[in-house]
Amino acid sequence: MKRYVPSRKALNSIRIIIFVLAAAVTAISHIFLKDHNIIMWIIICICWGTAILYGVFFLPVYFRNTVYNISESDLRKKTGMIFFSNQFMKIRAIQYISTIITPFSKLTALNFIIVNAWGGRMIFCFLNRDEALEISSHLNEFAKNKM
Amino acid sequence: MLEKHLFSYIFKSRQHPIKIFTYTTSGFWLLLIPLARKLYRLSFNVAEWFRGDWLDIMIISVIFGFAFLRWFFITFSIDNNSIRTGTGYFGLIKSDIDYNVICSVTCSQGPFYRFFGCYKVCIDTNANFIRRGHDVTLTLKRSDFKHLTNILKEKNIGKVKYSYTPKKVHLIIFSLLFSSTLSGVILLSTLMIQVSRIIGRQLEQKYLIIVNERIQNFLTINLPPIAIAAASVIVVGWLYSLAVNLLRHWNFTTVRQGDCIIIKSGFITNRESVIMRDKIYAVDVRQNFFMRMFQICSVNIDCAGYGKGRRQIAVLLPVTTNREVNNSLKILMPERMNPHNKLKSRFRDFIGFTTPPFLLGISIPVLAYILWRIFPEWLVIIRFVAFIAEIPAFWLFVVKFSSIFTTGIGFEDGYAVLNYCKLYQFHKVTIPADQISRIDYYQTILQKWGKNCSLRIYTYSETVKCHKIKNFPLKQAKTLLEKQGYHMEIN
Repeated sequence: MKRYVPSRKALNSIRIIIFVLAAAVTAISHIFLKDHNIIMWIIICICWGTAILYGVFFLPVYFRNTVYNISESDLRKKTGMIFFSNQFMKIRAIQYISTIITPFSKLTALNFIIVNAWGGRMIFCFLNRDEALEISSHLNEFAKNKM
Repeated sequence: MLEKHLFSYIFKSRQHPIKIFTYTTSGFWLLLIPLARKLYRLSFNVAEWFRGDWLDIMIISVIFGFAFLRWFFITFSIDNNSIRTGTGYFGLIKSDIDYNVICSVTCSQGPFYRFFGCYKVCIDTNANFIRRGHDVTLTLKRSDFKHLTNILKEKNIGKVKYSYTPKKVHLIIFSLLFSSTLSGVILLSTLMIQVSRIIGRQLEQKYLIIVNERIQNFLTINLPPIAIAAASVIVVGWLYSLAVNLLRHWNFTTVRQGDCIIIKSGFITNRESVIMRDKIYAVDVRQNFFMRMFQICSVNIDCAGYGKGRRQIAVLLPVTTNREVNNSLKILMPERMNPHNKLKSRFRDFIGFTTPPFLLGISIPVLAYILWRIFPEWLVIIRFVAFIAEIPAFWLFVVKFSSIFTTGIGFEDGYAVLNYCKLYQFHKVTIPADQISRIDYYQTILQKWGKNCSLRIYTYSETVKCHKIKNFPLKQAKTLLEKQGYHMEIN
């Protein structure tokens, strides 16, 4: 059984994206809602509150609690932020694999693998590019061998 | 290296360019008309036109540019063993679908696509997550389409073909029986809403006035105008649904060749579905009460992707007689067994079958009475609606009563047969026994007294389906299921 965890690079990338988005919302509300001071401050506070909550608390918890296990016979995923879930999928149920490798993913680690199986799917998020490619080829091989 | 990569990306296989227009917004064409009219009025003075309407032109260019980018980033390659696709934004979702996991490939070609020589192709596997969505949907050029179908049918070339073509009368009967008033009314309402958006509400009002006048002249009894309007909408909706159904199933042909079943149909839009026989999970012989009386039935199948679209029916044999159905199924699916009922419901348990429709039947006058007490001035309309609502309730009672004689289950040679009645329809579902994922039995208070039970049988395919079969003697049901390895007793 092989164990994979989401990359820390992805956590930092998401943090940067969140803070850039929050800054953009702040700038836009500052430009367009200058005359409605209260609404502007409410939007800015909600936006930064959510960004800080996710960047400092929820996302680190999510990254710490997420583990993917791949064995010869099954896939397992343990994840959650407040509520936790354990997912289990038999290898023989796999139909095909979809991979999402984003540009500059060596730096950002925003790579995803979607395992499409009988009546459902399992998503492996935020993997290192090498790990994502390794899992993808490994599962593709499994899926083809079982036929 | 990067140049080489970019170069190869540019020359990847893409969908037919006509797809760019379908990626634009639905109101895109309405924006073009005033712009074109203005250009014509300016005697094609483009500079003046740009100066005056730069914002509209920019919006249209952005819409069109976005559609072009969507088209550009969706790529595919048809290999000998699999189809590879790059979908989603910037083509980031890369999938590799082996031909062995494909359950069905459905292609359709409407008049618009026929004019441009392209085909809409939907590929489905059992892995679908999105309800009513397909795993892959592509608009292919004729050459790509031929390439894909040749690969899919390659293994079966030279093998014997068995075909079944229903008579046109059978297709008309099928369309009559399976036309849904509800879907017709929805279609008609959508059409009316769209028309009223463009030309105002005059047409809708005119339609209702004409219908009211005509029917009032025709009928001797005095009906409330709203009831006449509602009835006419239902009738026209049903007729519309009938026409859609008939056009969709016209020229229906089912062909078995090797390990595929090829189903062709359609008059205006031609459809062809290639279904892998080993991926058909259930065969459902359906009948309503009238069909039972005239000993005819319709055969549906459960295969991922087939009959999945809106208002589509996963039909294998549209209408056939009870005598012919087994022979036709033997020709099309020779490996499929035809088990018989091993456990049947008993006549003395008729209360279990008829209680729900009976309660429904008596609740309508009670509800009507309450409504009349609250709104006494609405007496005529309440009486009319209650009378109309009582008809399906009474009919349901008749259907449920007759289902006592057909309800049952059986297991034989690795297959299970489930005979049950769902609302107004009788089903005879044949599935491989290993397709059953779960069996529940449950008892109402009445069933507990009578030592009966009902069964919920869950089968899995693309989605989990539940078949509810009512009123069996508990002891016999347990014995039968235990023989099949389903031990229902919990110690």
